[in-house]
Amino acid sequence: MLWLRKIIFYIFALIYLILCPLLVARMLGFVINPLTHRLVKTGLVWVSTNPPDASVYIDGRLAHQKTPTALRDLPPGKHFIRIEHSGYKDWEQNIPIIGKKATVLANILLIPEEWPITRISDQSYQNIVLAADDILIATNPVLKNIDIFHTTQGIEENFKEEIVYERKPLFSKNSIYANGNLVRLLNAPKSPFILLEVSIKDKHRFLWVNLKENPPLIEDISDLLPEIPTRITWVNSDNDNIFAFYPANIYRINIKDKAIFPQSPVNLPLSLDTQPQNLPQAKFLINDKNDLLIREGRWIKLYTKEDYNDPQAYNIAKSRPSTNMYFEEKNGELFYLDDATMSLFAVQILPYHPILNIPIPDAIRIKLPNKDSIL
Amino acid sequence: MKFHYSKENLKPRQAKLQRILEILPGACSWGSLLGLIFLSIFFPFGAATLIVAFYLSWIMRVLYSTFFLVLSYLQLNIEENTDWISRIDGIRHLPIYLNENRSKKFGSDWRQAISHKVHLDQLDKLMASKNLPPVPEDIYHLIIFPVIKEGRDILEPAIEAIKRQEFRLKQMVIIFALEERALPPVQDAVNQLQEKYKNIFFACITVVHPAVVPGEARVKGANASCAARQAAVFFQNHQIPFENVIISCFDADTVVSPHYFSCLTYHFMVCPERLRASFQPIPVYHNNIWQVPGFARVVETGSSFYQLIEATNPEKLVTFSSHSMSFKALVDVDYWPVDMISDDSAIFWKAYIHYDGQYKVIPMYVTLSMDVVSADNWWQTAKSVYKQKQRWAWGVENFPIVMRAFLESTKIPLYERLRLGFKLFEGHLSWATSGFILSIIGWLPIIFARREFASSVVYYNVPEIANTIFALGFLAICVTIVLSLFLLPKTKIRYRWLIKLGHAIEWMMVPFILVVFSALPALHAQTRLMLGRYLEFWVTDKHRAKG
Repeated sequence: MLWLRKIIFYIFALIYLILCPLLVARMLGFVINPLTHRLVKTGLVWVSTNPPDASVYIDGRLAHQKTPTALRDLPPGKHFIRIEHSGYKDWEQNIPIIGKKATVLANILLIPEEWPITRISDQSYQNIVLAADDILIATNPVLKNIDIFHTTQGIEENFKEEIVYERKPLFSKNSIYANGNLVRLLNAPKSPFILLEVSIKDKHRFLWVNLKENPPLIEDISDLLPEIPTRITWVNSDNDNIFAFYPANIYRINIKDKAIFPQSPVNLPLSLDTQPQNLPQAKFLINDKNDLLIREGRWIKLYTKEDYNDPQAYNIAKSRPSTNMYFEEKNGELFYLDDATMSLFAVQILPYHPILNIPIPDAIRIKLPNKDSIL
Repeated sequence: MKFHYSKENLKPRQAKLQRILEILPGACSWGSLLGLIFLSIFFPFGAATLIVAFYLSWIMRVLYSTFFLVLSYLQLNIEENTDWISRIDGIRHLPIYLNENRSKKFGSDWRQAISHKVHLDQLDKLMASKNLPPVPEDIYHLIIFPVIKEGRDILEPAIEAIKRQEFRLKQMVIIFALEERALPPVQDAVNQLQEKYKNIFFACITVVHPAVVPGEARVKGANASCAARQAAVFFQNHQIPFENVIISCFDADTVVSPHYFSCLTYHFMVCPERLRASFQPIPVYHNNIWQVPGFARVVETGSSFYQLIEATNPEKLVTFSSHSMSFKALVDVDYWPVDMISDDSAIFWKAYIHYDGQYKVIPMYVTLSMDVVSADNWWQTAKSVYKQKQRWAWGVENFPIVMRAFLESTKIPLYERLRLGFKLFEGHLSWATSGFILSIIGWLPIIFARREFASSVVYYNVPEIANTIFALGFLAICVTIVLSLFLLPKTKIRYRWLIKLGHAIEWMMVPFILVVFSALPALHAQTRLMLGRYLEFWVTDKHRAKG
């Protein structure tokens, strides 16, 4: 046994002495050129797509693995990469490779042959408002025609399960408010509360609506707002207090205790000052901030990072500029009111929700040009 | 070579050297780990290079060990049915026996053929040495069981196992080395056992080790040495030469296989340097294997496999746990160290230094079974396993003493000193660091990656290389799983296949075990030695279900 052990030991030691430098060289990106038998520097490309499992061709040769994958041992210079996925348009690009460096093509958004558009409701609406991430409110001048839509929760890693939209009227037909008219709808980012300014039989009312409850809990807080404020706002972290802005004063109104406090502007929570005004929502950076959804004129467009200098634009659907559109990250869906019918539609933009993102070096990441420049 | 094998009562210069050498293993382990962390943060390319080189060396070592684990297991399997008694009797008339055996044929029975070939080689060596052994009737076995808190439930199965031996019981002397500070129930149990077995063996004696002896620490070696001294008087009184006595110092839970003492006697007889040798069996932990948590089963099976692998390399083999040796050698080296915890390995080094390198360990392909560490609940068992591994890793206390001896020695060849010194040092270093590097530190260059490193091919290639190496490592684990299933005791249990499947799945805990029950206790032990916070002897918890 002893002699065998010695022989095997020396064989293993020899293998190690040969393999170790080769392995370290390979780790550093050096490979032996089979033609010249010399060590050459190589680079690699990391490719991940949305959706994954796309075939990758580099200089016409199919890579062994589907996306996400690393294409290794590439000699420096430009390489032509084509990505194919059934049901999606091909993605093609000339990518520069630098020796010992990694080029990262992260989360390439593949464009479907046909956008998967779903009609959610036949009814016409005035506008849509997103509350608490998964509650969409479709507004109408008549209160009984305002609907709320609950979307299913996002699925952990991909969105293959069918998304269900649960539609309910905000006010039941028997509600005392049912025949009133909507004047204004106010909301705060991510807050499950909305404030409705309504007109009922020529009387101005303010309704504080808790959408977390089922059916929604509606509380008339008109007594706390004897005069009509120019602006009302609150933050999701404190849904008990709202701030009413008047030309000369600001009031903090505690809805829970039904109390009104004069508020100096200095003490106003900083976040409220920077809160966006109620302009139509029509611009979203999506897909790990690599791509842009934006409305230009009546077209909702997707700008992708296909090219360094010339981002590619794809028309998705038509929608009126006065209405909101919302991108819901959990399901990768865009909600909008159709330009012609004002009905509610959804289109899935991101078919996959990546959970584990590799840290992408800024210097290497292929970027869109400044997003503002294409507005 | 006359050498004071202890860290105590040294001259100032020796004490200083001892202290430096105590610091060395811990400092190197911490230096390696912290150095790699530092490199991972500030010089990730350097760290990645070292880590890949380490990964490769690790997998080569794993594959190499797995190969010899399989060979060693095969040899254990081959020798399972060997008739040691007839071999012992044959050696009595060696030339005739050798001639008879040369002409034996075994046809297609390759197992017997291999066993016979090994047997012939051993006989040839013995014949060539002209150092013939005493006749089997003159060979005596001294078996010492140190006892401090083990009850009758633990001790009696051990004695019963000796009672079932093929070898003549009337050539066996059993000594219960009882600590004076043992509780009365333990003392009563020992007395009852002595009474019960005194007429079965040549002698069954209890030797009480005083609670306080100047110059001794509260360690097992002190108790065993006290018993062995009494045994020396006993053998002198009976005019039995020490050269004819083989001593086995067993943990109280040691249950030997029925062939153990015949196999031991055979190896003692065929070994030309039998008076300068220890005999190392393969320890398995089967006594209570189905009564302990899964992680404890895996840890102890791993220990058995380590010994199986080591058994293939007698040149570097060091005694471990329950083992046997020449009583003459034990007396010559003045018994076990009385102030060291790791008495099992220390006695080898003590003898190796005493005989100027002319001492070796003979592997024996026979098993003896012990208890897996077990306590009242999962958490207590985990703590006990951790403490036991820390105690094993405390074997690092031998390093400074052995190194001092090697520095002083002029008779042990330099190559041997370098070879064994390196093995001792490297063994402890990799024990304390490998688990951490494989499981945690190896990933740090990726986790701490900054822009420059993250934009390099290295960032993407290191995980790919690591994954390939770990996949190969998984293959080795699969082989280990199969062998562990073969090695399990063949006793009847309910839902046998279901339980075995569960045991196979338990091996998936290896990465966790590698850190928590191997690297961490080893690093802990080295750190304590480095800081001079010496470990005290702690008796392992061992419980068995009744019935």
